[in-house]
Amino acid sequence: MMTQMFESKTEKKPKADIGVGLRHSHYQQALNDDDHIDLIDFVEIHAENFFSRGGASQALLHQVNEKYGLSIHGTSLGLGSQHLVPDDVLSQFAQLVEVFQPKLVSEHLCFNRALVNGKLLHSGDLLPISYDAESLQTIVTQIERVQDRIKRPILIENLSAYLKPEQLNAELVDTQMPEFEFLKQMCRQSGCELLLDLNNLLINELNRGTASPVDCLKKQLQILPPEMVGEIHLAGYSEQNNIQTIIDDHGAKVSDQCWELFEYASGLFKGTPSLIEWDTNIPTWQVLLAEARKAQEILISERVCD
Amino acid sequence: MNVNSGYQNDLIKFIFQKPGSTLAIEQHPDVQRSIDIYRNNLFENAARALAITFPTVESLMGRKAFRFLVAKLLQTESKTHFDWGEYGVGFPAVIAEQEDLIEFPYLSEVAEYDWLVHQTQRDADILANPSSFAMLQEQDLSTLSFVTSTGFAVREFWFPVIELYHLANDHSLTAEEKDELQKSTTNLIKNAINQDKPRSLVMWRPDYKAKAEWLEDQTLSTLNMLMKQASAADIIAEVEAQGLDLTQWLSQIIESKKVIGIKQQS
Repeated sequence: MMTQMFESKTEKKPKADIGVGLRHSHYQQALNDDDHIDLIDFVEIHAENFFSRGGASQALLHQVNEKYGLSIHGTSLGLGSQHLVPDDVLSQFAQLVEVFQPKLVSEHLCFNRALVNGKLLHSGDLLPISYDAESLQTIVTQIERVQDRIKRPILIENLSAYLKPEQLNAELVDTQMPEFEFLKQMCRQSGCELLLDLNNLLINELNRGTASPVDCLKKQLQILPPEMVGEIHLAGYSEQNNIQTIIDDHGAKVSDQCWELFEYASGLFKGTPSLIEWDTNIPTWQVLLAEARKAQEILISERVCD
Repeated sequence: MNVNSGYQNDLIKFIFQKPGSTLAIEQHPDVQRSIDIYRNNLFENAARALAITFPTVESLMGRKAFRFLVAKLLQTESKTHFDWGEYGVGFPAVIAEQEDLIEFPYLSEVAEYDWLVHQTQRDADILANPSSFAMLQEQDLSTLSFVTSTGFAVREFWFPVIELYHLANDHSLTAEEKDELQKSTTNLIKNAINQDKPRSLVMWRPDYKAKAEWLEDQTLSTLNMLMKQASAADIIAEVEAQGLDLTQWLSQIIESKKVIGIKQQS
């Protein structure tokens, strides 16, 4: 039945798959929605929400996996940490991948654990790593370890950051390499692919006060070998005017600048699966689908221009 | 320690410092602002996760008071787990320590109950084995024990936590039903203060949802023995000693899926 649904997709379908982040409040609607099977090729879930040993969440994920393609997105491994991911946590992650055989598996270019007063704390957040050779070696080792366990390449997402490590530690100033150079080296050395988060790139430029952030990023994107980019993320942000900072809260519609960048990126990285993320101030399922439709229209027009 | 370890340790140390505290080292205001953003992220992530783990506490206290309690917990319980779902075991104790909450003496137990439900819903599935019940007729009962369902536990509470949980989370209740439950729960809270001992409840997960029911004194001892994995012979002897009908008792625990099979004692 499901195979037939996928096969019946019209010729207007873009070559690249479109997905949306599936969060708790949309579970039932996503499972009951048969009207948009042509629009949504895959949904992304956060791995940790399904780390429980049993219960309803596992059963639900089986249902979701039957209806849509699945992307398993880790948010807690912190592969840039100076401490290895414990074996039991790695096993939980690997088991999820083994059981559900998702279309995509991804994590973040970040760290999240450190020793404080003898205790290994977990920040529960995505913290920026230093873009230096030592740090590169750390993350490559950790990525290889994950890939050995899940027996496939992983996608690693570039980060939005509110701090440059060298601001906190002056010894790091002279060792830094450009972000895109770091990303390329990481992919080449570990065999992973890049989950290109356009919203994160944009937020970093906006917070740095870059005059024409979209133009600046368009130039930078040309540096990336197309075969290195395995997925694109789109999301919205919020502006905290009191501290003059853009916050990456995934709590709004995709910004116009991000759409513009997507139009450009989808031309450079043709056929790359693209996903709309929305994690806070979660809208109705229909609003989320409208964002996916917008991405689909951009990809279709891209295909027409080919 | 290498430079990167130093940087990572510093950043996490600063983030976990009390909100509003300034950095231990002299830094540019931009850095202080960045740390404050990460501190706020930590708080918001914790508030979101704990609202899922402790839905009754949030419902009873309201968002503002709940967030105050989240801030208190972050100062007390270090986050060491990868999964936010495993954070919050110390929440009942944090609530119990708040002098401002003296008018809500049941709140700490409500948090304890929320935590129990949360853990039960996440416990590993145990497969039912109906055919194993035949062993009760075929083998020496002293060598057998009952297999209880996922999350099976007997716990003591002073306050009507089951009723408070329903009030806060059962959205199928009509306004009339809710009103009635509210009244009876208020009475139970008043009575709890005058009880000479706590009441016992049993929690278990027959399918995907945790269930709980209060226990009569008569059935308490047998369910406690089930939890402690006593032999089938000892439990059946206790059922009879309590004057319970064995057939009725057995069919009740099997139908309700508190017991899902029989196994050889290890």
